[in-house]
Amino acid sequence: MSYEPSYATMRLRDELDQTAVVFHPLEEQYRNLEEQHEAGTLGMWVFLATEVMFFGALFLGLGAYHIHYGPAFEKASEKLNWVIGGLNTIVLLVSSLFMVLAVHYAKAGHRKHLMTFLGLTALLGGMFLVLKGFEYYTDYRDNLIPGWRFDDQEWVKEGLTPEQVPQVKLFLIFYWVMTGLHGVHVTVGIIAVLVLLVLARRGTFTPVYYSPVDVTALYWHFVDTVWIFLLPMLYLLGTHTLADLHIL
Amino acid sequence: MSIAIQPRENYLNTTTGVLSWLLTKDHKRIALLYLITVTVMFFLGGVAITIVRLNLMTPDSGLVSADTYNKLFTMHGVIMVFFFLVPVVPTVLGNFCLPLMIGAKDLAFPRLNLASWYLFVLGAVWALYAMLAGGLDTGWTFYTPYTTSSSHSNVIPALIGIVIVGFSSILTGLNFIVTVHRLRAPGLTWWRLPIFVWTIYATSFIFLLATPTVAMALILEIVERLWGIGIFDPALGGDPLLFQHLFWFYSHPAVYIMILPGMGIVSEVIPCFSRKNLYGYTFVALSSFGIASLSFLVWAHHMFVAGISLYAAMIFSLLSYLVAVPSAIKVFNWTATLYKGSISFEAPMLYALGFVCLFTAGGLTGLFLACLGMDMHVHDTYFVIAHFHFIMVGGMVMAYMSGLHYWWPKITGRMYSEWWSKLSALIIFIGFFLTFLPQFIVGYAGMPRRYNHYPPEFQVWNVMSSAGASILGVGYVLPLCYLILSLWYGKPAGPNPWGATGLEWQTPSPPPTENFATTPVVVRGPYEYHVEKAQNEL
Amino acid sequence: MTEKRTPSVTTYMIVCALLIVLTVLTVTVSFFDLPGIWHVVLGLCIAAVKGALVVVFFMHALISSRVTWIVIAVACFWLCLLLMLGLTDYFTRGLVPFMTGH
Repeated sequence: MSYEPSYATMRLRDELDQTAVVFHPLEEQYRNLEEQHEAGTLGMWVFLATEVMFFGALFLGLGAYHIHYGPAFEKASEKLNWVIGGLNTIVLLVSSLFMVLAVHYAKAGHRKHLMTFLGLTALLGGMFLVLKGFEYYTDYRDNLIPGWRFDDQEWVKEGLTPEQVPQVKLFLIFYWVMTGLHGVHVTVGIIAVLVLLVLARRGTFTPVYYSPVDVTALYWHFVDTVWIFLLPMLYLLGTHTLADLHIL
Repeated sequence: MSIAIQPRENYLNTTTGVLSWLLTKDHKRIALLYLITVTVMFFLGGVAITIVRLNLMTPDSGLVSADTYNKLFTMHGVIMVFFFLVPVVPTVLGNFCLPLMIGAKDLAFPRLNLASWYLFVLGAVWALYAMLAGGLDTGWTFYTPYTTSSSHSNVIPALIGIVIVGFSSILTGLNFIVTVHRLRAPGLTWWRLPIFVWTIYATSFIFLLATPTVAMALILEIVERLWGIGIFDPALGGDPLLFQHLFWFYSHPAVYIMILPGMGIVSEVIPCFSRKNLYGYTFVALSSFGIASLSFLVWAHHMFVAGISLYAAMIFSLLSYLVAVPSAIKVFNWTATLYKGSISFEAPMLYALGFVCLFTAGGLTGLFLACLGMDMHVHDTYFVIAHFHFIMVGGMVMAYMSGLHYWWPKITGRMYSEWWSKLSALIIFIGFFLTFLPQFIVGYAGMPRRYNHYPPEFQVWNVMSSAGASILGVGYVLPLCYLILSLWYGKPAGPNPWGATGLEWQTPSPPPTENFATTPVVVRGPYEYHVEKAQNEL
Repeated sequence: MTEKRTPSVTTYMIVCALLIVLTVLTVTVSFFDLPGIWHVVLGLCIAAVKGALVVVFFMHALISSRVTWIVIAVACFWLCLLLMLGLTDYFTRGLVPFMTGH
């Protein structure tokens, strides 16, 4: 039986073998905590592979329609609020930094820092949602919700033919479904991080048992990665001009 | 319950009460929960098709209205595909046997395993609600516009149910993959894994990579139906083929989700009852992965006449032929395993031989359908129906019955009636042929699927098919009876009634909750029957 | 068993700074008047680099086991498979009108 390389040092592993079973929640099917940690990490990675395909299906749809409806998609993309979109990207990237620092300090056994960074991560996640909410409001204001607030004539005035208006709607549907699903993922992530925060406060995590932090971090970074791809595929298809800044 | 009075403590009698079952984390108990659920679903799906077959006895649809007919075949398809064929072997036999076969105490994530079962039940409740209260008439493929603009039946609850069941499959697959990676017993290297474990692993792989796309396709349909905007509606700029692409990206590999574990079962049963090492172990193991990977490259052969580009159709046609290679490798190796073996015809072996025969027939007719020109002719006819029922019912259900009979003594600790089990294997085989062979002929002659009436000259074939279906029905009810009766009247099985070599047979039947008193150490390959035989002769 | 060192706090900071720079870059590119396809290509290339940075450093793929790399590779490969084979149809459908109208 070969072991995969692991995060734990030899000293930690010794410590773990002798003390972990007593102090930490080791499930009976595992030989030691390290094996349990690795199973958890692998499980999350495999789950994320599933998520890749989940969002991949949407990217296929978006791509397929983009191939055929390029001009309408670019026009529609220019109308989206790229300022908030870009700002939110940075918010998520920084939250990822805080998350990885939380893992760093969890591994180092630094409870105070762990709590600080978990708190900051959740805070930035919340900020993302608030900004997203504001963006949805501007979309509402700018008639970008097909089926609810949408004005065909506006788009014809922009220089699109009446045949292209349904194509704009198609783009906007994908925008709503993709950002909506991503928002759900962020919300789940925030809840998970807040649970970790409570556990960290109780002193659950130690240098030998911090796998929930590690696993949640993987999920958080993945949600970040999805947004990294959503930004160019939704907001940056067209050509922006500085005049677009009036969006705000 | 007489099981409960067995003196030795095992997973069945260690705790009692309904809650100890509903909140269990033991993979063996969860497998039994699944067994009960999928069996109920199987018979519900069976009732629906019984009425369909009765209706098809006469050319002019005497029994039910066209609307009801649509709802009935949809119910049959949805239940059988999503709630029986896809989950049955991984969740029942896989759940029960996988940890035992790799010498583990449980799956990697026992709570997640239980959660999968609850998701499964939740999805089943949604879908059953949709189909029983008002009905669903879209066909199991949920094509647009049947599901979006033109249907007035309970589409949304059904779609929600299927999406939920999809997540149940994903979590099960995830659990199996991590378990196989992390919880193998010492000495159990990858090349010592039983083929059943290999195939369950390959199946999980498909679960994980294919299921999300269908979930997304169905979610988009729900959005379209709720919002009334045309994601898949050509009048509004959408492309109905996009749905079909996403749907078949799952549903073609799903065919291999159904058949791969069956192949795994047969690869266990044939060496055991031939007393021989599995011929070409490495090839059989790797061909599982070949099938799993190739299954993703062929989906558009379901769409040849739907309007995809001719170029894409040619590519997918060529790729579809490739799947025949790893499938044939398996069939050749099973046959070679039988060659000069000391074959005994116990019930699991009869079912397994039935599988090999029917799967080969089904697989060969699949080549007809992979061929672009031929598919134009037989697309959406009973030829297709007969082809995939040869794989799904003749192949998969036979293999499942084989596995159930093979591991039943391990699961319950009791032997079932030998005579009745052999009889039912024979009845199922005969009934199956009588049901589906005529459908090849009538399909080739041009009878389309999903129609409730047909020209009178097709009646003789349809009557044969319905007669066969009634025999098949008897064949499926019999095991239900004698297997349940065996719980009370069966002889105690002992740990290894078949003299098999797998790890799961080294622990008592039924196994204790922790599976093995001490973690086993593996020193040999999975099918070393020849070694045992040589030792016995000495 | 090999011990792999985890990245330091400074590394994380640098990676994050790089990610923000790339974000600004990708938004800046959208101001150039390029043919539509280039916006997609450049945007996706930059996104791929960013994604790789997150996966390798933040998600610790760098110091993870081989199995993790296999999972990443399989996920990427299967995503490509879905997109490539799916789009094959859309790219080659030009001979037949895509949108037949009302």
